[in-house]
Amino acid sequence: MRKLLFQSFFRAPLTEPAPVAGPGRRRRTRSRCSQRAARRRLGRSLSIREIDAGSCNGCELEIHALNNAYYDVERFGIRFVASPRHADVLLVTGPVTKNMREALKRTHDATPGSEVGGCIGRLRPRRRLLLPAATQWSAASRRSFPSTFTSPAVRRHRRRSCRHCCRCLIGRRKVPDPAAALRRASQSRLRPHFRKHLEQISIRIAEEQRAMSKGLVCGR
Amino acid sequence: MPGIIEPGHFRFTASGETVVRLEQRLGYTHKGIEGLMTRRRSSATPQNLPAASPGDSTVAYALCASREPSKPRCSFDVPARAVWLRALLAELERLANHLGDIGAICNDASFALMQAHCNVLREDVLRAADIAFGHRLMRDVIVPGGVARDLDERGKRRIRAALDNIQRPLSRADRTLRQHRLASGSHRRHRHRLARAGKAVCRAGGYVGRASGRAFDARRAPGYAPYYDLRFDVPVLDEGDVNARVWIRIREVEQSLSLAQPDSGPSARRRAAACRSPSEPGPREGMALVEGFRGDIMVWLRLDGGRIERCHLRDPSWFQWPLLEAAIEDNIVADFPLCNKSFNCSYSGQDL
Repeated sequence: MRKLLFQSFFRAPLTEPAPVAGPGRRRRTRSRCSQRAARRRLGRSLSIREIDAGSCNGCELEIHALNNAYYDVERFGIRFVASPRHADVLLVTGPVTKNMREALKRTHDATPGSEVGGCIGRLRPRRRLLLPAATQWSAASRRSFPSTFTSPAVRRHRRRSCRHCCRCLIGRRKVPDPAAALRRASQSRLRPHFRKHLEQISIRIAEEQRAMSKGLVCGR
Repeated sequence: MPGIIEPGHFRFTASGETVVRLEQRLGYTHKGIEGLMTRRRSSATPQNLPAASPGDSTVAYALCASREPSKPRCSFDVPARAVWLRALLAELERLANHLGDIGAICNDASFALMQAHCNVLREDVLRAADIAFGHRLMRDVIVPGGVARDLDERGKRRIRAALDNIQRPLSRADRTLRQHRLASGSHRRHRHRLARAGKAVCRAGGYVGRASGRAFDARRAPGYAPYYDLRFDVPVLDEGDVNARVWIRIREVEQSLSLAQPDSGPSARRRAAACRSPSEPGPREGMALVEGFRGDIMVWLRLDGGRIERCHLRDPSWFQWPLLEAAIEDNIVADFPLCNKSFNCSYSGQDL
């Protein structure tokens, strides 16, 4: 044990630098006054409540992976919380089954901002190998689960409340990449204040990235 | 991270701090997988849906659904290399999941350092799998008739590097856990003893069964290729407590490390196969038993041409959930998360 702790003084951290900011995002994040508004409203962090609405547990495993030493998502101010009352946004995985409908609705009502930040799931087959069957597990897909346990009302609810959907987390090379997810998120039709907030965070990631490249921050 | 779990309803009846009774109410993730499978037409291969039933043992389910059933009428000609690759995939999945579990149990016993180290090892395995098979959790790699892609040199190198990396930290973790028996292990050891009667009734497999003296492993007992030719031990302990379940996992990680050898195996002279399920006319039926990381998974299929007529997917958690109810009795509520984590039963696999 002592040896383990001692080693951590000498070994470089495993944490990888944040993903590089793309040119598109720079253009969108230029507006200074919107950044100020976002900071006033939400501060410099984002608290996320994750809800499994019938997923296969693959999304959960990958979201857990965000916390490991390689990705360490908390350094960007993104935190997963244990109650919707502590959360800024909700993150929904799974196709929203019939039995989770009420629970999801109540969770949604208990969230102060009342905003579903994102849905994770497989939108459509990306490669030939991913057969259409796999798309059944998509939280994000508008057409998923046509015949089984998700009722039309659930689908309507989902359409109305989900402003941002990203594709299946599982198995993509750059999956636990918060910057990419946020970049996509800030492109989508979010409520203005939330979009600004995401922009703000992506700016922070970019700043940190620049600082790391200049050697200002201790990174690898 | 807190609260990133599957949905379930646990109703405790407590007298003071002691749990008198626990009732589990599951079914929140019921998606109707069996119904969907029967409605699926021949365009889709049947192994896809079971593979999405619990996402953490997707390889084991795919293997179970596409394994050559015992009846000779529906046997596929699976190339030897594909059989070997399937075992490699299954062992990698077992490794990754066990490493994650060991870390998570230690974290629930307030030993967060161990989780940090185990999660790094798990991530190494997942990244190697991503490079070797194009998918971090190795979904859709196993198809009926073989595997969808072969292992190339680069993938082989990455897997070898990841597995070599695990050896040393694992022995260090082993030592650390032994040293800290008194600190964190004492309550891990003396609680959550599984009632023997419950075990006998439920016939639980996997680490739950093996930690309480039931030496059953589907790779050994009915057995399937290529495990007939491989040498491995089935670790068994008698205590049936959380500590025993952690140690069974550690021993199984060691066994998987010795089994997963990316360099051995038959040569790639013959293509590793990417054939689809042969759609012979007439009804066929088959059942297969495969050892996933939780225990023995059973899949029964009745095919009619390319269509699935009826099916049943039986997760190992079916036998483990009732035992969790038995194990938490006369314990304290605060110990439930630890005990639950050590069982790590599947919600999605049970609810279907």
